[in-house]
Amino acid sequence: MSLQIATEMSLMEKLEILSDAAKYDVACTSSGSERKGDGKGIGNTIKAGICHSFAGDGRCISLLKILFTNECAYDCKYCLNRCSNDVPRATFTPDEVCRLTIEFYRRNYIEGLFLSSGILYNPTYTMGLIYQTVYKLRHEYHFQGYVHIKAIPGADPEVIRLAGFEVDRMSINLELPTAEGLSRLAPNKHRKTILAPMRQIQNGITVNKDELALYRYAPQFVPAGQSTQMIIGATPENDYQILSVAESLYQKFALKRVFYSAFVHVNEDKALPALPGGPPLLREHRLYQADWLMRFYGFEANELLSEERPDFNILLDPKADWALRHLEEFPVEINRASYERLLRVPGIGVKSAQRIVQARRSSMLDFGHLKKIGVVLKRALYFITCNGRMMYPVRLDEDYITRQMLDCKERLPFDADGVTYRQLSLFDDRNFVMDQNQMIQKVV
Amino acid sequence: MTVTVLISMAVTGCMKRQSLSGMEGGMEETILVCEDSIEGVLTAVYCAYEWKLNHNETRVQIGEADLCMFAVYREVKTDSWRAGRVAATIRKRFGEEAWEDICHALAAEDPEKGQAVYQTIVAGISGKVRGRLMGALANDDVRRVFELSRHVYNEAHRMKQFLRFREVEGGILFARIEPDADVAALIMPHFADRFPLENFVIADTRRAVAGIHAAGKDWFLIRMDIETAEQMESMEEHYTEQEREMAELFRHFCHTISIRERNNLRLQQQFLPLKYRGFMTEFAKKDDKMRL
Repeated sequence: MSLQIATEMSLMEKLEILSDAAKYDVACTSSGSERKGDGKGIGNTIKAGICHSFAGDGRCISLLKILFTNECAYDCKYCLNRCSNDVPRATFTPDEVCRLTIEFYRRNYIEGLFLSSGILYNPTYTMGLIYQTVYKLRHEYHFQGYVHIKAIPGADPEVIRLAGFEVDRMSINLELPTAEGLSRLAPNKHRKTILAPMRQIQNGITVNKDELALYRYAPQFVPAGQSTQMIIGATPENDYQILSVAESLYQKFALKRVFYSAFVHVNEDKALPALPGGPPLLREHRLYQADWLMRFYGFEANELLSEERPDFNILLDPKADWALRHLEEFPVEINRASYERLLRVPGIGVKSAQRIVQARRSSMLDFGHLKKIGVVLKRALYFITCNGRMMYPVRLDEDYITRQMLDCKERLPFDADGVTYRQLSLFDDRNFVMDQNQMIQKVV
Repeated sequence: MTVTVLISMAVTGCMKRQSLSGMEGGMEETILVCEDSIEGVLTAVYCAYEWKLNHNETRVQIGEADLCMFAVYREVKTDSWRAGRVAATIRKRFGEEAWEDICHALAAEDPEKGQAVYQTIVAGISGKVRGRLMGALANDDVRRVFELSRHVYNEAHRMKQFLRFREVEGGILFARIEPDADVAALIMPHFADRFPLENFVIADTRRAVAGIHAAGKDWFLIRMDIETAEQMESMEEHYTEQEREMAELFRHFCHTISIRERNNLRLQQQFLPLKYRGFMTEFAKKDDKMRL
């Protein structure tokens, strides 16, 4: 029998294992923090963030997203690195992480580092390793780019506090929308241990803002805010429940972003759903649309969904769906309506609404202007008037407008579930004339 | 009679003439020909006001283009004092933001950019616009300047995203770009702030312009002639051994990080059009020159 001796892994092998393990964490933005270099180090950050590359699944690659180690003491059923799985395990040293970050950063491959970790021995020890790495990166290698780390739930609050001064963003994954789901699929994690560090970071940011108001060059605590992530489709919550959880997170914990990750089947386990159609990508897409509506368009969760209608419309996006259910709010007069009312029109986004409000100060707007400004008239024309006139005579009737909007081939992403037919009608044929004699006269 | 006057003007080659404001306003047009730079266009705007021309019948044209029959051509010699006066007026009356937008618009590759900027400044000075100058998007010229500046700003942002440095012998970081607009001057400050202690060179091969930054010093732009261009080509070939290792690591990282169940190549192409992939290490095919 030949022995297989474990040899020291090369950097390439470690990177492969640990970036493969980190890829299900979808938080990838490098935005929220604006910092100039100080001339003595390397790096700066841009408030809007920079996406340096795009992966084959369309997501942006802006940070070096790795785990510090994929050894894990926990046994979460959905995770590839759970302790009951037999996968190759690897661990970086802090120097290796720093070196990779700096060399990639120099070549403009990345905006910064995203560091997460499996649980090695216990949460506080793991958090200590992460803190050691970012401290080295900031103070020995003088890195001033973007750093995003995951706080480990259950770690000592003092380590989390110290780490917060070295990073731009710190996040903790909620994993599952409800406590029951969490206890079923991740028995080692508890809701309280996840929410406590979130509260700590939120308080730390508020206190730090006061400190910065007093002294501009005080050390900053998590300047880009915090975010979190939920897995969609692994547990049977409906869309209304998920959206309500997201709304309360934004309001109560002042999060910057909530990320939704469609459940991808990597483990065979009886607690996990089968998902024959693949990951629920359309559902994830609708959730992101609703998330944007809540953050930028002033919607509330109970306006978009409710107990009676707990799931999103497959064919229409949430904004158009809301508009069709509330036709009494329309039509909106472009030259007079308030900014908030303009935002609610399907086809008018934040940028178009801002441009309309600015442009109408100098002159009256008509449909030609709107089209050039960038309003999607194909959708908006059913809901707006310019100087009292609609673009084409339109009946404000829910069925009629729905059919028109779906008719112009609303492109659904991901070949959405099912509908490939439509109820036919004789009146669909444009050449259908009432009087057959008319037809004959034209030909002759 | 007007026609004979014009033809004789053209024959004698004399470009100065009396104003024709008394006659047939509709047919006569004055075309100010300036050079393709910010100073050139702003000098032309200054001259339009200095010579008291009718703004509805004046056009600013960049460089030589198709000649019009019934138009008077006047050459505008670039003068930095005059351009500076116009720049100061814009910044004072319309704000820094409008000035940045106009500068961005003038970095584009559109032959009509001079005319759009000229008419925008005329509209702003005449007081017809209430609020922000760049907000008056109902005006066609303001909207054209806005679109051009947005195009150039987006191109500069994409260059910051997709530019890749390569370490060559001597520890110099070298990058090549081929942008649609003249953005070298717009991206150098970003990288100079990001890498103050590095020596780097960004070469725009389409326009033969390069931005150079020496460690600890200010950056500057140079115009490349044939020899400098060839020197740069040869410099690019001599990369260090560590460079190959890092490029391979990054290529592997990009490949590992995508989730197969969510593959969506059309979405990837929408975010990262094929034309930008030429100089990116992670997209270089097996026998490509970019593949180290």
